[in-house]
Amino acid sequence: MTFKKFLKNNLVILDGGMGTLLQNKGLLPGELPERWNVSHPEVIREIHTAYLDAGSNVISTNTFGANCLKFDDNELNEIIFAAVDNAKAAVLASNTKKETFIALDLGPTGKLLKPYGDLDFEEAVNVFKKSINIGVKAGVDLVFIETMNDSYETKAALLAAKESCDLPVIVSNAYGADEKLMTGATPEAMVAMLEGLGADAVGANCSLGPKQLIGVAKKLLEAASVPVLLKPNAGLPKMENGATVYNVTAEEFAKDLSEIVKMGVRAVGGCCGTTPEYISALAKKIEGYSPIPISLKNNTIVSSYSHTVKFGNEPILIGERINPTGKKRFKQALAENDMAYILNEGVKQKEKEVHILDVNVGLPEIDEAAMLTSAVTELQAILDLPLQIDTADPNAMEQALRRYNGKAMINSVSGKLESMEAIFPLAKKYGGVVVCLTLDESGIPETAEKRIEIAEKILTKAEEYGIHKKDLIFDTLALTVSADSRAAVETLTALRHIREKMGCHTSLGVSNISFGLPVRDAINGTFFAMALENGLSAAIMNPFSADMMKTYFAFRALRGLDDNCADYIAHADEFQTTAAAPIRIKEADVNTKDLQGAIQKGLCEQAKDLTEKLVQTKAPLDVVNSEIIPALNKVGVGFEEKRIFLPQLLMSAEAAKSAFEVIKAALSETESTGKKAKFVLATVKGDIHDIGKNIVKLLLENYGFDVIDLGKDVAPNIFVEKVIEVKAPFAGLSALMTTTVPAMEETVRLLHKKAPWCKVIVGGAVLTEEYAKTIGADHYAPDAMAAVRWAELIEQRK
Amino acid sequence: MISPVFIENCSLPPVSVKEILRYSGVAKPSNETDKLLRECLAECKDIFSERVAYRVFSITRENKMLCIGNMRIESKDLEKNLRQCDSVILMVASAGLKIDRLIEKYKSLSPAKALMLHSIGTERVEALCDTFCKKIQHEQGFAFTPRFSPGYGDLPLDYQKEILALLNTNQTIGVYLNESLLLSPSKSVTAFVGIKKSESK
Repeated sequence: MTFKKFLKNNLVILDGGMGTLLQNKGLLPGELPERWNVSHPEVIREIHTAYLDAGSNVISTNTFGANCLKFDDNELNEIIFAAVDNAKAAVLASNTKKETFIALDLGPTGKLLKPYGDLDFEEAVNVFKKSINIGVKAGVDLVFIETMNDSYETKAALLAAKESCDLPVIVSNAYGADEKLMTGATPEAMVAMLEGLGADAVGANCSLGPKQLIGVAKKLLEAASVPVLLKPNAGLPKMENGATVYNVTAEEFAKDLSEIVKMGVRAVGGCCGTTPEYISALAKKIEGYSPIPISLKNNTIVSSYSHTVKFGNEPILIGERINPTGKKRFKQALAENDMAYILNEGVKQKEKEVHILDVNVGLPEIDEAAMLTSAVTELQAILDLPLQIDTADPNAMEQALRRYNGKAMINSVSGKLESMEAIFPLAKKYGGVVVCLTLDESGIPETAEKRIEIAEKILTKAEEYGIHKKDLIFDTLALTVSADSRAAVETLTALRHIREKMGCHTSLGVSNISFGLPVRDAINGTFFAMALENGLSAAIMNPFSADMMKTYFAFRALRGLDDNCADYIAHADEFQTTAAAPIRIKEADVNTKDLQGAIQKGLCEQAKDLTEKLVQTKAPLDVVNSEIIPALNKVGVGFEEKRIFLPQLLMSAEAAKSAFEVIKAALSETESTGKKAKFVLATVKGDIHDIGKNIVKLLLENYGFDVIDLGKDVAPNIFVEKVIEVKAPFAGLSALMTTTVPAMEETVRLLHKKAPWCKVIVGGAVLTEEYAKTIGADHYAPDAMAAVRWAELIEQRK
Repeated sequence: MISPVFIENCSLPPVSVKEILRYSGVAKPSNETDKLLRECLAECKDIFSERVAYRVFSITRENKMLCIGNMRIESKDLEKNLRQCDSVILMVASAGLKIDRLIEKYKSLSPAKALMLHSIGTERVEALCDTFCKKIQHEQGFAFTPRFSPGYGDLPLDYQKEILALLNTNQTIGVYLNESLLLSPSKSVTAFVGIKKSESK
């Protein structure tokens, strides 16, 4: 029988711990247990056989850490083949009458994924693929990914398995006492992601004993439409008479787990501290228990790295601001690869409490796939909101979806066959909730009936790909009422039908309804309320629109979704203000009527406001030269004379930056702030810390340099290529650790060789004047101000 | 003798503003700097991990080397620190990943905040180490030597690799080592803490 079939109709008994047993047999601390497959095969076989005899259906090969980061290719091959051989031999040697299966056991790689560690996602996928390919060749029945404490790495492993073989894959995560993974994911978020990627079972193992894992088990059972597995530890370890003992006995373990089986968990076993005795007790205890049937959970859910957003009676706000359409400044940011601008748009929308962020970076002159992938990975690194990936380019969609840490919203598919054939396979492979536009090859239909027809067509087609309607959201397209007086009516009729009769969730880009009309917000706000009343589940909207937020909070209060109207009351103040004049005088402080004062005190909002006032009467460049630069210089001198310290220097620089934003916008097409020379900056290869580099960047930009920031962990050749490409006269390198200084040395060497005109300045916690000289740098900067002074000096000499 | 890996839950004391300012390079805070610090502290509420992983090892000495677990360490400075010790605690403390996320968020948005948060993170992980040492000393009646980390004196950073492996930190408290020997999460500390012979039980 195949494992899949067995799992469908039976309770499954997994095996128990291996590590503790090996330690008892002499495995030394620091010794890699996987090597014992080759050096002590009889010990491994004995343990496997003992578990089978005790009642396990599944034995996991001794390959937990068997990956190419720990072993070279030859040894890896040898170990995995030996491990599978040992398991097969154990099956033959065992006297069990039960169905038995061999699982290829895979634990984490041992490295943390970027951006918080240094392992690249695709590299992680390849590491897992290597091990899985060997295991499949050696002949296993399933793949068991376990003890994963990072959702992103779990995705890499599951994807690797799905791209390598057709074997069933069961996935188990390590949850902490807070019922979350180390990197923050809730059980619900893991279920959303893993089911989307096609896991055959999901679960939890390690860290805690059975009783402590009940909370997680319950959450998994409630969320999952696939079987749930649990492999707890035998409690916690302690020292007793010089030996390590676990505080949960075999009997207690069996009893606790049997209760959990009654709750609906389908596969059970043990992790650290458990032995064949534990499995034997467990098998006896649950003998005769019947498996509880598993129901499909009809939920429309998306997730981020940390949590889920569920579509239901609560309206969902999808922030639309990350989109270049009609936004000059945004387009400029994209052209300049200014990721900070995009991140800021995300942060600001999160502050407005949207639930999901739409991410659209479609601009003809850029590499959309690369930009979209960067935007998605950088946003998900700092914000915990689920993302809606918004692109018309299937290639960009695939790349971004692949790297997304969670279950994304896919914007969008339409009734056009070409669109469905391009996007549905991606949704099936990577998981996701798909926004379906009710238009097709004939365009956007005028009537509600025709839109509903298209929706039905899309639903049927999705089924062909195995995509359930719970993962489809229909957008009945809000066209402008100024062009067609029936526009709103048709949209809303279709919306209601789809929500109520077809039982699917819906979304709309609400603001389209008012295109061409004056006072658009009035129409948008009212339409939003009408749509919500007609079954709108989610709105793609501008959270900075007071009218839209008014409608949102008022609707919730009126619909009984807001206890005591508490949220409405809390936000009511914001609705009062009109778009133009928010009260910024909160930063009440002495003597900041002048711009210089605001910059010196580091007051960003004030600096922005004052600059806006000044450019109405003064030429922008005059403001720069007579107010901003003198203020910066005062602060710079204060810093050098140790009256002003680094945090203050930075706050002033940030205030100056916001003043400069106003200046840039005020300048005409032909004028420019007269950018000084190009300055290429980076943190060297192997180093992922860049606070210092970012400080230098901020200051250099303040002083008018054209900074090209290549980021962190930048290889020498990449750096030099950029310097040559832009003909930069200046280069700045930062390194934090002694281990990464060689990479700095290499970069300097390469620069002098290939771009001899370029002057290199270096800095970072580990460097000294002396060392800088040794590696051939042109200058050493003990702090950011020094770097600016040096660059200015060189500029002046030219 | 080698103990299993223990996880100790500590209770962090309130922040030391003095230390945070020191890490930020501030001799005397301006009003604006104070305000920045308060804003950053407000964002840091309840985000720090209070867990320390540790393991107790006997020390044996072979030639000039300290044998701890599977490590053979030749370091005059560590030997000096552990002179009076027969056993040693290997500890790994981490302030957790959330502070790294916060720092990352502000790196491009506000380097001033990123700097301040970085200092807060450093202060917190140092406080965690101090709290842990005090707690265990008190509970077990030990006297400890000052904690000694790879990177101090002549003890190379490379030993972090073995320490993390011996404490299984990937799985126990989620601490990893990068290729460049940098710890992730960044506010993490590995250390040897010697247990002085005369006063241990």
